Amino acid sequence: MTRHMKIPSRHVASPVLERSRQSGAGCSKDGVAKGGPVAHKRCVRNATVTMLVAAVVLLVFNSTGLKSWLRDLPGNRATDVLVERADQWHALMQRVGFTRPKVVVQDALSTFREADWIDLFGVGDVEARESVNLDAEPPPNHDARRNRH
Amino acid sequence: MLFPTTEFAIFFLLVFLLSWSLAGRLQARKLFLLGVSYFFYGYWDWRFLALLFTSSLINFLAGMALGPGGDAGRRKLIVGVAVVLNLTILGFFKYYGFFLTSLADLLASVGLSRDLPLLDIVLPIGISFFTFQGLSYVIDIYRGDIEPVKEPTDLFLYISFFPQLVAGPIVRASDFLPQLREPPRLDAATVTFGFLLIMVGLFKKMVLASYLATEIVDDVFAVPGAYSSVDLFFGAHAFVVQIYCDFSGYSDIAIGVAALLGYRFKKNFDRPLSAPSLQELWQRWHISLTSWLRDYLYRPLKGRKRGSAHMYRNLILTMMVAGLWHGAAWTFVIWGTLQGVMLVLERLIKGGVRSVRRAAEEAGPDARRAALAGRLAKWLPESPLFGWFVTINLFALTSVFFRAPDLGTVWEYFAGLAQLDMTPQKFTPFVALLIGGSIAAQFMPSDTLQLRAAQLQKLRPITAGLLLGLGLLTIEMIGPRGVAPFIYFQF
Repeated sequence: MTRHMKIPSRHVASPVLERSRQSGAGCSKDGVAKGGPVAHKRCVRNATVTMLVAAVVLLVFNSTGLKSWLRDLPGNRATDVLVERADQWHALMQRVGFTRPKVVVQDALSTFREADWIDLFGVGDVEARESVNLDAEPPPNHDARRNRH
Repeated sequence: MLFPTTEFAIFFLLVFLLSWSLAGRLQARKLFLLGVSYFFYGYWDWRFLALLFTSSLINFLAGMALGPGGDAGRRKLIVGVAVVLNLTILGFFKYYGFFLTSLADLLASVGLSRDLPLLDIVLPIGISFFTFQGLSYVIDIYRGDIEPVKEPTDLFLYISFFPQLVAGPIVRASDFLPQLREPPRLDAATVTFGFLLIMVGLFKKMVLASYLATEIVDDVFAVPGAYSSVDLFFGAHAFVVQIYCDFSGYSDIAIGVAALLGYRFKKNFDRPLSAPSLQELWQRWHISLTSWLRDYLYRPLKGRKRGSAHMYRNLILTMMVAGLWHGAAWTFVIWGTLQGVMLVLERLIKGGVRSVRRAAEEAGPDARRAALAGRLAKWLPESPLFGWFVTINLFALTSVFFRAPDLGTVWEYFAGLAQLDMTPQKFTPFVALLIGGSIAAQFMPSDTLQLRAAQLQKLRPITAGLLLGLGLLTIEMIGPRGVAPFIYFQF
């Protein structure tokens, strides 16, 4: 507690967070801050649980991401087994319908991304996209710059 | 190993668990964090581990040699040698090619073409950041602001601590080293705030910055001649928002990761795109770099003490160095110089406005003078909104120098802008929403995130995990595919 007072930080030691800390540094069973070393250990445990639950959410609803990530790993016996398991897991999630929200959200966003001013407000040049002069020469080190970014 | 990847998530989970299991053994924990930081850096290119080690060793030895007191001349010599060594390493890896190419061009322009020993040098990632951290350590000891570390682990960890190693923030020794001497602690507020910052940082990088890059910025800067003036105008604004989201997103994640490991970093961005003046924008943009340059370059040049002319010269010089720090190219030098010139002009204009207002107040019985000054004072805009409008547009338009690959592209960009063709091709409603939404969010109160964190800390860990998971899932769902490297990695 005193440590936070000694080393001021514009980000973490804001008045709001300081008030929260002053009410107790650790975490109790019900999540409300309480002081003491046991509570401090509980904070570590709570943070671990938070991360693990988040990982489970991602495994369930983003099985496509898991599948693609494992496929990109260097091939060997272990990763082959993992890829096979990930494929089975993804197929299961597809059957249950947990992969559907991602598709729905991406489709909706894609429609909005492709919308033009004319679609939304009836103003703008509908042929504008086609009129882009793609014959114009890119600058000589354009590719190098893009790679840097 | 980029922050927004599965590899980093697994790496961080393991580091979090193992580092907190060593919480009772301070030295072992520091050694562990040092080891994982070197692993993190070596994951990109293990050959540069030797460079990181050498840089840290130079600064450790310089700190030891300086000690807390002693002969002033000897101390000056030691700090001078350390600064030269640090800058030599940075200069060789980052600026060797630039200076030699510029020299060759200069010689060729006066008819003295020479074959110069050009080398194909790979830029070590994060070199500008860890060099500046090392310099701040040595200079702070020389100035008597801090004492040299007793444990080499402390300094090596300070320079290589993985959350800030490759793209900042530039952490000061005086902020970080005292934290290493005390047992780490974690509290509910920090945990919640850390997760929230990581999520906000990922959203900025993976959604906002990525879309702005792919939807408009990369294209308009690749072939400016192919796009309309309105696309180019908003392309420049989109780039400013992109680089803000990219870099402040990285800083947010770094601060959040460090907080979860029990360490505190200062804020690196404070809503700069809502600043009503250029001076304020630079006080809120990449705070760790601008404050570094202020403390170790501008102030030693005695910025304010020798009168206005000296102050303005030093301001331009400091901003020029800031430009060169960002990249070894004339475009960056011109960008930095322009920022310096604009800061000077802003001060002059503000000074002029103040004088006119004062004249209007002091004119007293001189009716004609009072009327003239009053009219002038009325005409001069004093609204912060006007200041913000001018600031953001000037900052965006000069950022063309920062983003364009060469001066030819810069001229092509401005020539396209001058054509005043108002047909949007790349500036779609989606891009407008990204730019407008990002800038509007900057007007929220500074402690919005802290307030949310204070509210959310009461959640049970399972509920917090569900929220974190859904947040990350949303970012993954709405962001474009793939992860581009952070822009500031190249600096």
